[in-house]
Amino acid sequence: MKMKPPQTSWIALSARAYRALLILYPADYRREYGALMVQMFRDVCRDAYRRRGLMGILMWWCKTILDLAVTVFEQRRKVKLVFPKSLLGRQAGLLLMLGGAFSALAAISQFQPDDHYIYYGIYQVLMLMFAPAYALIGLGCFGLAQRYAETFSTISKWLLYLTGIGALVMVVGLVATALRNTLWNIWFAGGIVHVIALTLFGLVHLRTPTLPVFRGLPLMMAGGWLVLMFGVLRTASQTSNNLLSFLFMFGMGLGWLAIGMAINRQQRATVSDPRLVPER
Amino acid sequence: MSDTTMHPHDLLPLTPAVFHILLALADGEKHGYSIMQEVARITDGTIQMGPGTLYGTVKRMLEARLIEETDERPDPDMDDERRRYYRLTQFGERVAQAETARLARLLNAAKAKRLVEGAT
Repeated sequence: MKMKPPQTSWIALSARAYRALLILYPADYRREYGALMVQMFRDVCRDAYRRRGLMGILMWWCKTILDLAVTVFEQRRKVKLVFPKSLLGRQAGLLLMLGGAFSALAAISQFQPDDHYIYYGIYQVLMLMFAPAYALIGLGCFGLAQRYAETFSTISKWLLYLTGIGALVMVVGLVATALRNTLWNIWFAGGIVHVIALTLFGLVHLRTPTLPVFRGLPLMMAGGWLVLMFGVLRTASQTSNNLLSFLFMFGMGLGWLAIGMAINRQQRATVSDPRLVPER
Repeated sequence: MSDTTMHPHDLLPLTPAVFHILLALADGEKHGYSIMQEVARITDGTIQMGPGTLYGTVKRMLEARLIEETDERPDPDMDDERRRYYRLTQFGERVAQAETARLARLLNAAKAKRLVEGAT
């Protein structure tokens, strides 16, 4: 039986170990350069062994580990910046996820036992959580419009901007109402703009889906708002009204959360598939 | 980034890794390992680029159109066909010249302030 020379085993073992470590790099980078990096690593190993034996390989490993630690971090950081370019566009998923989560939490305010013209105690605190929720959702809508600027139609883009503006006016209204109850009109006006723009966007999205979610989701969310805002929801008891009101608001929060999560998932998939990364 | 929209000075100063690779490729196409060897040679062995640094920089330089892949192989019979060869683009050459001129101006300034050993 023919035995392998010892240096071949050390070099082959090192190359295998290095190939395994490449898992630390982003998938698209690994696919493009992984084989070349292993080949270069092996070449240097061979050289190092010829010059200094096993000590040469060990020294090369020390340099390689340092190189790996620095460049893995660099490549991972870059992946986040590949797509898209604007800050809001990049963070749209995160903004909508946080906004959705805050909104779902704030929906608990609907369990206030009596009527909902004035909120008090913990219910008021929960109701005020709609302010950060809709600030985040508003900014998230701007981010969506920028993120999908090239795939959305002009009308979709502007409807999303309008949805975002409505959400931000609602935030002003919520804060103003907390200071002076008669200012609820601001909140209502913002809500009208938000819901109409979202409804129209939902209709366009139903026809030409662009977001990576169920095509009817934006329209369903807008439908929930319409039911709540125009008081269609009236059942026999306050308790069941509260429960339904909570379910609608909670559902809308979950809707934004789902859109945010889907966008984040799409971003990860995009950067791991180089064919989907737009040329810079 | 492309040579049609960018001026060489827009990219200055270059990182040491980018400039070393431009220098290594200044006299013809090379594959990754020979770039690494050339960088070690021109820096008297003080810089040995790891695979991560080299290919991370190569990726950035390809995106910036400083270098390009080439199908030409200096000696196809002796070579592993899986290797990829890179060469400077015209834009890359202009950027290398601009960086060299910038460094030369710095060197002259350092000489004037007697910071360079052996300079008169």
